[in-house]
Amino acid sequence: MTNTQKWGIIAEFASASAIYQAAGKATAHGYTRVDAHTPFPVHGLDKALKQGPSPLGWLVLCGGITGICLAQLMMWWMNGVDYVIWVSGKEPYAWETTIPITFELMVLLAGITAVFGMFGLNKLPRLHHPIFNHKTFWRVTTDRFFLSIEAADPKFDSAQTMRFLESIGGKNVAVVED
Amino acid sequence: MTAHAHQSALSLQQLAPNLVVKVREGDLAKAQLALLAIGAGLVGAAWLAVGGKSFYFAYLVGYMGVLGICLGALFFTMVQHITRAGWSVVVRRIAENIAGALPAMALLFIPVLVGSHDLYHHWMEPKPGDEVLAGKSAWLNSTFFFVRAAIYFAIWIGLAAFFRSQSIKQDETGDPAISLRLSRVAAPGLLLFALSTTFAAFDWIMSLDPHWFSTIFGITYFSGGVMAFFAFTILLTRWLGSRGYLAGASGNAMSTEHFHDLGKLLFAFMVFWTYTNFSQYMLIWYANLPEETAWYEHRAHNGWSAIGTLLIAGHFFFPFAFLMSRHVKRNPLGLAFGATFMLIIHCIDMQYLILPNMGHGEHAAPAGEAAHGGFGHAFGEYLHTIGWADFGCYVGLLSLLVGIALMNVRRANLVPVRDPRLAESLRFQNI
Repeated sequence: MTNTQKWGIIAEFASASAIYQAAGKATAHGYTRVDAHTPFPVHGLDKALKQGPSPLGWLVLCGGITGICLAQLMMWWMNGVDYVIWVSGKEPYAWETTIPITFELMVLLAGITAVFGMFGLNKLPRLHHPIFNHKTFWRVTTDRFFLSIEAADPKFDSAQTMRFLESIGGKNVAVVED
Repeated sequence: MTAHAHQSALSLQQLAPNLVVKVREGDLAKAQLALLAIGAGLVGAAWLAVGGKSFYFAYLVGYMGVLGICLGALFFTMVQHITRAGWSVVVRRIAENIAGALPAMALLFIPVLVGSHDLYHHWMEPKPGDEVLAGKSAWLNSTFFFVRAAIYFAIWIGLAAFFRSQSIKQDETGDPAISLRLSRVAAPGLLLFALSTTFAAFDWIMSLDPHWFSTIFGITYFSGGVMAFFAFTILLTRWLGSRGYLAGASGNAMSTEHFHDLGKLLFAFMVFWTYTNFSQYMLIWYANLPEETAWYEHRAHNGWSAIGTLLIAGHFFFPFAFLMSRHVKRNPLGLAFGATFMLIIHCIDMQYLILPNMGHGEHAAPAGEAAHGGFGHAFGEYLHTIGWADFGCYVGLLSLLVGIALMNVRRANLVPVRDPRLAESLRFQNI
């Protein structure tokens, strides 16, 4: 056994339309662990890659609901139970006074969940990714588009996948090691 | 034809192969006539059947509800210009056409003027010795009231006519300088709009209870109106789409993406309405000053407490949960249901602002009646107090507005065909 493992195969494309076509062909061919890397968002690419909707929205919803519950619990406990103070004739726990804090805590926890949920789902932060081993991948932030097929894909086969990516117009097709 | 114009025409052809530029000659004429007839018939029937003070209050409910839609359309048009928005170009002409109904709204204001002594008698004929009204008489006097109404309509009609006519002029000349000029005019235009809308809401709704005041009142009216504009526009464009114009077929001007965005804005202004109304309520509740709480006290009797609860649920909680999901906003039936629901709730919101001021002082409920009975009892009381005209005038004026908007739709192109951002709008996609 060598100490390096195949991570996947990467192919370079010259334009947004080329990567869009290539992504569609790769998923139509039966590959499932396909991803595209582009310098800017390409409309419809997630559909071509057959990527489902992100679960982030549901996480944010849970974060928001947690914020509402925490805020209500906190104010009910502090104002209504633990340390009751009557201020200007208002009920110690009055729903009117709790709305701003409830709203703020909902926004805070929903926002934090959105940011850190995104990091979590993207498995960030990490210092390095095998894809950077590809020799022209640095151009992904300027003028090149890349399609990757992971070795974990059930249909993956070094020689065949490489030929496939070349057949759909990929340049600099290369295996990257983990 | 210049090379540039030729090129952009080509790309438009590719982007929207089924683009219908104009309503066919004579098409929609019957619908327009029917809507105008139904509208006039309903308002006329309310006038004949109800008449007098109750009619004027019912008319004011409908009028302010529908005026909010027209003002929302003017606001939308100017905001698109000041932000130089790309996505909305295909929707903008419809907004221009709805705002183009403002001259007709000035005519439809006549019944309010005729009924002004029934509506605003508290300050038009103040009780002698009322020092609060004596102090406010520099603003709240009949002459200045009529002059102000003329100023508001001059501002709104002027702005609406300017933005619509310049946009139509661009259809012919294709001059991109028009877009730049409109974005420059939109800035002072929005300032004038904000001030005139705020003061109109003060004059026409808040002064029904002339002792009461709330500086946020203009914004609460504005937020509900803009929300109703989005609901109205969603339904109007859906209907036009079913007749083959503007939407419906793929490759025509509007796509799911544009409806999705209109849905987001409908949602946003619904929440904004809640935000402003809660801000008003919480400050008054907290300070607990009798001259401020009196307004909510009037709305705790005669069944209006049920409507307060209904508005919290129906103008916020239900639509918040319903319209939250993008799948609902991108679903034609889901969005149409949400929009219809919000248009109905908008009418009930206007009733809540206006109608409790009709009876108070004369046949107000005895104090303490609101304390028992609960929601069901109070709602029954509301149904007992309310007349069909309190919805009928709103529906009638809504019908008139659709008719007048259709008249404008049939006269001009359906989209600003030579707007420099049209291609961007046709290509627009939500990520």
